[in-house]
Amino acid sequence: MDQYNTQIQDIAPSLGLNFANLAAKLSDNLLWGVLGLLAIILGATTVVLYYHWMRYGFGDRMVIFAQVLYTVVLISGFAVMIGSVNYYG
Amino acid sequence: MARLPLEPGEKILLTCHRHWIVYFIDAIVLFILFLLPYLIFRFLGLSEGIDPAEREYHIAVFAYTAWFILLWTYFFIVWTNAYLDAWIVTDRRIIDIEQQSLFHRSVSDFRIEKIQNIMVKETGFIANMLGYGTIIVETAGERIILEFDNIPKPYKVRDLISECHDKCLAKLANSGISPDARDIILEH
Repeated sequence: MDQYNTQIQDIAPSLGLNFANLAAKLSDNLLWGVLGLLAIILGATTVVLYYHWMRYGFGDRMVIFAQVLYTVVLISGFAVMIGSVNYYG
Repeated sequence: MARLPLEPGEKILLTCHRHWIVYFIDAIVLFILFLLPYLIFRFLGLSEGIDPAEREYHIAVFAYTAWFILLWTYFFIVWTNAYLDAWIVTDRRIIDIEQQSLFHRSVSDFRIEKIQNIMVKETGFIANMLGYGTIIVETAGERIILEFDNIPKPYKVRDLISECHDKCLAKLANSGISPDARDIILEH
């Protein structure tokens, strides 16, 4: 089984599919572009979600909890991504 | 905030949302999708030689976080559609809010005294164990059938609606008013 796994794990490196090689080809500008695109898409989705929660949530505690949880995790996610791009940028 | 179109003196007795199992199944699927890139990387050996101090490590963190927040947002879209799809039982009416998607929502209501039949269905082992099911309410006259799936404690909801129905009929009999009901369907 170990031998089988080792063989499968060797397929990608033998084809030159190593993440380090792929990552080396990604420029910082491209990463900032992806980040910007994500910000636009998720920003628009967040506005639509907030609209529903505020308009149709009727002050429900579960909706308020979901709103806070979603926002905190989303902002944290963006902070991590900005930190990752900025690290070597 | 939009207000429910309640009549003067009308009281909300119960708000029914879907059972948590609906979100749980979606959460499991999304969790598997979240793990998938990691498993593929490990299995195919794509992560060979990634050093936490190197640039590629930070790119991997970036990509994985992006994948995570996309799934996170998708989960909340699914949750919002399921959670805002609700039944509101008042002492006079049942208000059925159908949230089919973020841009497709309809609200309909009918008077409790028009109810002719209430049916509860709990099908399957999990539904019986966790106590959720489907309520089907039929009305007299125009024969409207209202169905609400994956509702928690459906027998309790049925009992409450039946109790309200009896009270409404008794009230109408005492006041001498015929149970002349109207149904409103508002499409947003």
